[in-house]
Amino acid sequence: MATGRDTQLPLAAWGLAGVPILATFVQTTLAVAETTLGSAGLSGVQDAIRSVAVFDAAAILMWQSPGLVSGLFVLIAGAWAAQGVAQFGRHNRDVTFAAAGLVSVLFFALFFGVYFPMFGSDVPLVQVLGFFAVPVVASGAAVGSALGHDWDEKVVEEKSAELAAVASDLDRKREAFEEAYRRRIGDLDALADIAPNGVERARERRREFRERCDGLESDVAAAGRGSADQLRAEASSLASRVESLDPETEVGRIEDDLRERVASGVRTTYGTVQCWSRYDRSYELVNLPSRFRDVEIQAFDTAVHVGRIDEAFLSRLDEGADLETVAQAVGEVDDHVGRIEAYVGQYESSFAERADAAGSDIETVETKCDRFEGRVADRLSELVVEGRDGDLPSVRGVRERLDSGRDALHDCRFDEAERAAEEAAEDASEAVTLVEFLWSVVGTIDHRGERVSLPASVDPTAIERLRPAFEREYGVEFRVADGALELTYRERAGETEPGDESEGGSESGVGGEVAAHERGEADVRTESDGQVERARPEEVIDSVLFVFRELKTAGRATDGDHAEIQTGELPESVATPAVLTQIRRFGQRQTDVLETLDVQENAPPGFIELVPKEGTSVEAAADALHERYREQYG
Amino acid sequence: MTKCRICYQTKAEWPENSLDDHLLESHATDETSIRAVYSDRYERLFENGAPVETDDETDADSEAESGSELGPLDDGGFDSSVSDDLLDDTYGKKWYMIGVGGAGNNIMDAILLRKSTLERNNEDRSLVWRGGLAGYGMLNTNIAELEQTYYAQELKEYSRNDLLPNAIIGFGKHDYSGMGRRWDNGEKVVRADFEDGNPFRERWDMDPQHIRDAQAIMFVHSVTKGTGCGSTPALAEHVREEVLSDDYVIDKAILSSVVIPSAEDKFGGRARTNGAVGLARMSQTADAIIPFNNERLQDVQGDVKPRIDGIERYNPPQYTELNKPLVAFLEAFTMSSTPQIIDQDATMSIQGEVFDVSDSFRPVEDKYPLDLDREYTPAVILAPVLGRSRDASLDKSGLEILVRNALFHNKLSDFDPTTAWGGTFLIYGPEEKMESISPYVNDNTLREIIGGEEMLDVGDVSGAESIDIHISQMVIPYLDDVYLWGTLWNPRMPSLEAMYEHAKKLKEEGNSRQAESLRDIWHLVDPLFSCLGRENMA
Repeated sequence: MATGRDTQLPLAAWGLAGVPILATFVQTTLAVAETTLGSAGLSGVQDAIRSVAVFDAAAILMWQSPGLVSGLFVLIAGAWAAQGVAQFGRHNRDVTFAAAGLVSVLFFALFFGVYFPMFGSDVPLVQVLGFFAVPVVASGAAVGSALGHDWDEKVVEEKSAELAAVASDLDRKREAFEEAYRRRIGDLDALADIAPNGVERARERRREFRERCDGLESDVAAAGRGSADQLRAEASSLASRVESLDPETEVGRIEDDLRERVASGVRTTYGTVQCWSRYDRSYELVNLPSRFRDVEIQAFDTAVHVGRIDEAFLSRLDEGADLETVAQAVGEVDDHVGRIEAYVGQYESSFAERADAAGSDIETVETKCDRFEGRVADRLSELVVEGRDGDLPSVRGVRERLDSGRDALHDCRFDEAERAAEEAAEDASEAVTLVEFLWSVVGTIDHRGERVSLPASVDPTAIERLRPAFEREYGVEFRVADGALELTYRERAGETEPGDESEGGSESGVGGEVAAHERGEADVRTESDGQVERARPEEVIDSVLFVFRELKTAGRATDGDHAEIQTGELPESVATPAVLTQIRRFGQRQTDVLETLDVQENAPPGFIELVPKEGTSVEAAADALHERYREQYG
Repeated sequence: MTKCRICYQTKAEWPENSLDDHLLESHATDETSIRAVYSDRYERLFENGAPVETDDETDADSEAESGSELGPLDDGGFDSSVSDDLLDDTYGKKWYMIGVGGAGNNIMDAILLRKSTLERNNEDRSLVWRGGLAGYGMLNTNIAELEQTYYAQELKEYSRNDLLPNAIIGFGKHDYSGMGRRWDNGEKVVRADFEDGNPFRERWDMDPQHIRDAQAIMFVHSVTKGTGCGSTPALAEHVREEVLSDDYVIDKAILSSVVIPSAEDKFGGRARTNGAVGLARMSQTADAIIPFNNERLQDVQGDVKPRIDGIERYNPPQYTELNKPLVAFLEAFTMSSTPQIIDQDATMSIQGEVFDVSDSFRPVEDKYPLDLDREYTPAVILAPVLGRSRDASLDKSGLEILVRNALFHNKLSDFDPTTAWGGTFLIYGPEEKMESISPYVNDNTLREIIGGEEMLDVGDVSGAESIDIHISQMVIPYLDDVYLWGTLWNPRMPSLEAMYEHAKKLKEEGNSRQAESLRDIWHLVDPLFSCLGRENMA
C-alpha cells in the first residue's frame, strides 16, 4: 500500500506541472474573453508581464491564432486535471498515463506550433529558451508524477480479484468433475475384479485430474502471494489453464475407456464361471443344485444361468447401462460365486483335512517301510506300499482313493468324495498302525520277546501275508492267538537258521534239537513241576555272567586257589536249574583255564565250585569264562 | 512372582511389602546369606555389617520393583505378563547348560539354533527353552572350534580376542589348539585356570548367579577327546566347589549329557580309554549322566527330527542330523518341568504332572548297595529313549507298540532295558490324543506295559529293592503326535562295558604312560562300571 510520503512527491510534481498550465490557461482565457489585466484593474501587472520581451512576443503570437491557442490550452488544462483526478482520485494508472501524455503532446504542439517563430525574432535567446523550458518542465512534471506514483496496491487488488475468480472457477470445475465421475462411473470396487486394469486406469486418470486441479490451486495460491508484477504476469495464464479444464469431457473419456475394459473383463471372467480348489482344479458348477446354477441379478432385473452371465453383461453394456448398475450386477454375481465357493469350500476343507491326514500317514508309512531289512522290507513294500494285495491297506490304495476322491470333489459329488477321503484316511491310519506294529515286532524279535499284542486295527490277514518273510528273515514263527502275536524262535527247536530258505521247520525240529545237543551248545532243557522248561544259552546269559562274577569275588576270599558259592547266596532268578545246567555245560568245555567247574547234582539247592588250572588264578579263570560266554552268546 | 532365595518363600507368604523389607525383617541376622545371595542389595541394606534404616525412597523403589515383578495380577488369573516375568527370570529354570569341547559346542549350538528357530517362527514351543534355560555357556581349548560356532558368530558376535577371555579353557596356558585327545591335559588346563582365580566369576561369559539360579547344571560334552573328557569333570568339580553354594543340605544337581563311543566304534583304543576315564571322572561329581551313542542317534533320527534352521552352517555335516534327536530329547526333558508351557485350557487331570530334575535321578541314589570299599557313589546313568507314535488314536495295544518302539528301537544309547533299575517316563502329546491315553496312564496300564517282562521286567529282582517306574503325562497342545520320553536308570550298556573292558585290559597289560595314568586313577573308574545292571542294585 502507498504511504502518504509516497503520494506527496507525485502530487507536488503534478502541481508543479499545473502552475504554467493554469497560469497560461487563465491568461489565455482572459485574453480570449477580451478581458485584460488592465481592464480588471491590474494594468500594472499586465505592464510588468508585457515588459518581458518573451511574454510580449508570446502575446503577439497568440493573437495571430487565438482560437487554436485557447483551444490547446483548454485541452492541456483539461488533460492535466484529468490526470489529477485519475491519478489521485481514481487511481487509474492507464488514464493517468494517457492524460500525462496528452498534456505533454499538447504542450509541445502548442509551443512548437504557435510560439516557434520566437526563434529568429529579436527576443533575447535566453528568454526564448526559458520560455520553451516551460512545456518541458510541465510535461516532465506531469509524466514524472504519473511515473512516480505507487500503482502496485491497485494492481494487487485487481489481480487478486482475478485470481479469486480463477480459484472459484477451479473449484467449480473440480466439483463438476467429481459429480460427473460419481454419476457416470461411481464406486469402482465392484468392478476391480473383472477389469482391474480398467479400474486402475480410471482411478489413475481421476487422480491425474485431481492432481492437475491441486497443481492449479497451489499455483493460484502461490501467485496470490507474489509481487504485483508476478500477479500481472500469471493471472491471465492461470485463468487460461483453468479455462482449459473440461470435467465432462474428461469423465467421458474415462468412462469410455473403462466401459471397454469392463466388457473385456466380463468376457474373460464370466465367459466361464469357475471356482478353483486348493488342488488347482476347477469345480464342475453345472453339477451343483439349481439354487447355485442360476444367478439372480437384481441390477439387471433378471436371472441367468451361470454359463451365460457374460452374455447378460455384454448386452447390457452394449445397451449403455451405466457402470454403477454394471458394478452392482458384478457385485451380485460375485456374491453368488462367493456362496458357491463357500458351499464347495466346506466340502473341500473337510476333504482336505482327511486327505492331508492320509497323505501325512502314507508318507510315514513309506519312511518307516524303508527301515525294515531284507525279505521283510521287500514284502512290506509289495504289500503296504505297492498294494499288491488289494485287500490290505496300502500307500498305493490310499493314493488311488484320494485321487478318485479329488475327482468326485471337483465333480461336485461331495458325498462320494467324503467317503473316499474317509476310507483313505482309515486305510492310511491302519497302514501306519500296521507298520509301527511290525516295527515293534522287529524290536521284540531283536530282544527275543515272545508275544506282542495285536492292535484291533491290524488285520490278521496282513500278518499272515507277512509271516513267511519274517520266518525267513528272522527265523521266527508267527501265530495270532488271543489278540496277540505269538513268536516262536526256530533256533529253540533246532530248526532253520535265520535266512534259511527252506520251510516246514516243524518237521525238522526233533532232529535239529538232537544235532544241537551233539554240538554241545544246545538249549538247556529242564523239568520243573512236571513242565518242560527250555532256555537257550543267550537267554540266561545275564544270570550265567552274574554267577561267574560271583565266583570271581568268592575266589578273593580263598587266596585264589578255588572259589565256591552256595546257590542260596544267589538271587532266585539266577539260581535256576536252567542256569546251573548251562554253567556246568559251558564249564566242561573250558579246560584250558579250568581244572573243574562243579555244580552240585540236583542243585538248587547246592554249591558251585570252580578250580582253576594250575598257574591260573580264580580271578583270571572267572574273567575268561565271563568274556568267552559273553562273546559267544552276548 | 518374587521369591526369596534364602527362605524360598514367595512374596505372598511374607508379611513384608517388599523384598528389601523382607530381607531386613526376616534375615537381618543372617547377613552372610544376604551377602552371598543378594550381593546387589547387600550394599544398600547393610552398612558395616549392620542393617541400615530403610527410608521412604527405598521402600518406594522396592515396591515399584516388586510391582513390576508381580505383574498385573489383579484379575486373578494366569496372566501373560506374569508368564513373561517367570520366563525372563533365571530363577528356578531347569538348566544352566555348558557345552564343553568340540562336540559339546556343537550340541550347544544345535540347542541354541533350535531355540532361535522356534522363536523366529513364533512357535509356542519356544517357551520350552525360554522358560527352561536359565543360561548357557561355551568352553573349549580350541579357539578355531569356538570361532565356528553360532554362539560366537551370531549370538555373541565374538571376535577371536573376545573368545579368548570369554570361552577359552586355560587362558594363557597353551596355544588354544585343543588337547590332542589327552584327557590329562584337558584336566591340567582347567586346574591351571582355577589356580589363578575363579574364571566363572572373572572371565568366562557365564554369570555365577544365573548358574546358582537354575535347578540344575547340565554339561554337554563328549568323552572321546581331550577337552570334553578331561576338562569337563574338573569343571564340574570347580562348579560344585566354587560356584554353587556349599551351604545347601542337598547339593544342586549337576548332570552330564555325554556322547560316548559305541561298542562297535572304530575310533580306536584312545577313544574307549578316554570314554571310560571321562565317564568315571564325571560320575564322581555329577549326579546323573545321560549317555548318547551316535549310532543310536542315527537310527532314531527319522522318528524324532526337530526342525533346526541353520544347523548345517554351524555343525559339522556328519553331526547335523545326529544332533537333532539329541536336542529333541533334551527339549522334552526341559519341558518336563516348565509349567509355563502347559496349556491352561486343558483339563487338570492330564496336565499337572511335571517333575523336577532331581526327580529323574534322586530315587535311584537310594538303590545303591552299601559298599564301604567303594571310593564314591557314582552318578546315576540315565539311559535315554524318545519314542513317537503317529497313530491317530492310541489304545492299549497302540501304547504297547509305542513302548516297544521306544525301548527297542528308539534308544538314544545302547542298553538293555531289562537290566535297568527302573525309569522315569513322560508321555506327552496333543490334548485330543492325551485324552484317550490318560486313562491308561491313570489306571497303571502304561506302567504295566513298560514294566512287562520284555521291557523293564519289574518282576526280575533278586534283592529287596524294587524296580520303580515313574510316569508323568503332559498335554502339549501344539504337537501332532504322542511321544514317550524316558530315562532308564543304570542299565547294562554294552558300549560302556566295551570301554571298561578295553581300559581294564590296558591298565592290566599296558606298559605305556597312558596305562600308568590309568592305573593311577583306576580306583575312580571301577565304581561307576560296577554299578550298571540290575544285579548291582542293592
